[in-house]
Amino acid sequence: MTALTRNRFAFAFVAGLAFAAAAALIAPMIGSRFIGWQSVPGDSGGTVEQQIFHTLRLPRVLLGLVVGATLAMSGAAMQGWLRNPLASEYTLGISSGAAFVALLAGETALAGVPGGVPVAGMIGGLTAIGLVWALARRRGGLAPGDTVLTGITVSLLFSALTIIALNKVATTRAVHVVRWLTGGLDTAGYDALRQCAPWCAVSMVILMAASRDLHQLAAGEDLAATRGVRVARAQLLTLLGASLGTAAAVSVCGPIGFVGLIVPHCVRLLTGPDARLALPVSALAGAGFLALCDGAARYFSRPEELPVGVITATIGGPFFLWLLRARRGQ
Amino acid sequence: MILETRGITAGYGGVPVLQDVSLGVEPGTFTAVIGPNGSGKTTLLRVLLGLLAPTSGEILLEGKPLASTSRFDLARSAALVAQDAPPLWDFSALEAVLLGRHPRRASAWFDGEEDIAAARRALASVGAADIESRRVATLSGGQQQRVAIAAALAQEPRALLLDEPTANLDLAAQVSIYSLVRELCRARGIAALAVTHDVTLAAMFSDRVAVLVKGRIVRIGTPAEALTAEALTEAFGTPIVVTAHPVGGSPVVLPSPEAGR
Repeated sequence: MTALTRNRFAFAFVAGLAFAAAAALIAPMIGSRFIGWQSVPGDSGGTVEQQIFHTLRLPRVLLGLVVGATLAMSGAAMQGWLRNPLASEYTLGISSGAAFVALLAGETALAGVPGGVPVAGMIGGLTAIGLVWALARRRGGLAPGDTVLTGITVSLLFSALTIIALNKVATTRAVHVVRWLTGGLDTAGYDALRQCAPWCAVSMVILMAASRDLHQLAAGEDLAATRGVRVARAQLLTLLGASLGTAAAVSVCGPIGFVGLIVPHCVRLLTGPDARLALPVSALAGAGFLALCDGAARYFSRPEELPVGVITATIGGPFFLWLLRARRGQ
Repeated sequence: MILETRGITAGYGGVPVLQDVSLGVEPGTFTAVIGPNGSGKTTLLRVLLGLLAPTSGEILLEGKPLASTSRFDLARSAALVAQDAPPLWDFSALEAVLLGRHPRRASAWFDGEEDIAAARRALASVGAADIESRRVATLSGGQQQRVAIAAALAQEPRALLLDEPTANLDLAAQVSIYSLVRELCRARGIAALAVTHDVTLAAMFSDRVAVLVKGRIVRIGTPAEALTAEALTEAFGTPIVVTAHPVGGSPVVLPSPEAGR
């Protein structure tokens, strides 16, 4: 039976929560050196291990959980909106649009304004997806195949603009910015988390609210409308929610690709296509997934570390190609 | 009348597709709308369902103006069986039918016992109770269409509007879908309206046929009244012969092989 009953929702939600919790327990122990939870009591003023754990690992894992949840949920929402498994905040250009404008904002006067960079990033993300929408729109909705192609093209365009902007950034800052553009969670302390978590939370609340209508939109705009959905409102909410969350994540961690593609896809294999279930479970799975990927990023090239964006792209690139092929088979 | 248009003019981008169309659907009656491509059949459905606002004229839902009815209330009165809706491959049949419960669910979020029971009843009433847990992708075209009709029935509508319900179906499925729609009209007092190219099939099963040409209803009446050779020849712009069906005597509409020479 595939109806979304209270029990089925609760079961899947708890399973997702268990995965996220397990990742949250494991991830902080992984890195250039293993730190078990038994050495944790005490605060950041204690031993070296305690300092690493409290000022580096824990904030970073929490950031990974929040950003992973947001990206995965945004991706799931984009896939529902376009009815296309290749859609995600990354392949539709939202990430690069957000990165470009967030870079502009971060390197100018806006840097000091609270919330200035995430909001600027959201404007960039919305501009990118607006462009994609305008270019790929047909009567009766978006042509799914064209949309992803357009999205990737728009994404490349914004990446080029970002490189141009990068040339104007002072050399001392450039290393920093390049690192950020690769997509990484390497922050110290809780500032980054404080900057993006509220926006991520708002984004997820918006997307959860839209998920019921997204589920209806699986049957197309006309059928959804004749079943009582206010289609334009639902689509706008979805776009706003996904752009806001993505931009908040990007403004702090840079564009981390493929999380919004891999996670929702794997989740739907377990939950089925119902957006009311796939969205929240994607968020939980995405949280765990990114926290673990970041652990891998710290571990595999220790004592150095890789940006987590490299890890997700290494997994996600082949995954994307496989999805493309699987779709052609249909 | 459950749903009716009065003197509707409607179109896209200022170009009128429908002109001065007045048509209503009555409980227990199966109306078919036929006409050449581009005559405005699908636009008529869109207007009736509030998907396209008319530029002039009035639409009434159970006597009240549609413009003052909320989407939600309209969804409880009229349901669509769409022609080119995106396929719900990964949905189970039951899940696809449960989509129709949207305007009826007691819980804002979850599918309750009542909804599942209603979806099962809907599947049973289209003769598809046995496929509820099959993935839609594994169903035949005829079964998919039954599921689509069941989803519409799950809305518990008083009017059922169907867009080309037998497009791409084989002969057996065509007949079974049409007889199902007629049966739903008779048994439940549903008002059905189908727009279709299957003129002969529509003539066999419908109570009333409207012929739509260039956005105007040029003829309306029982199949025998509406479907005359002269009227259809003019409507379609090609010589058309009408004969009587050997079984039942309904009009059989045939194009002439000499056309196009």
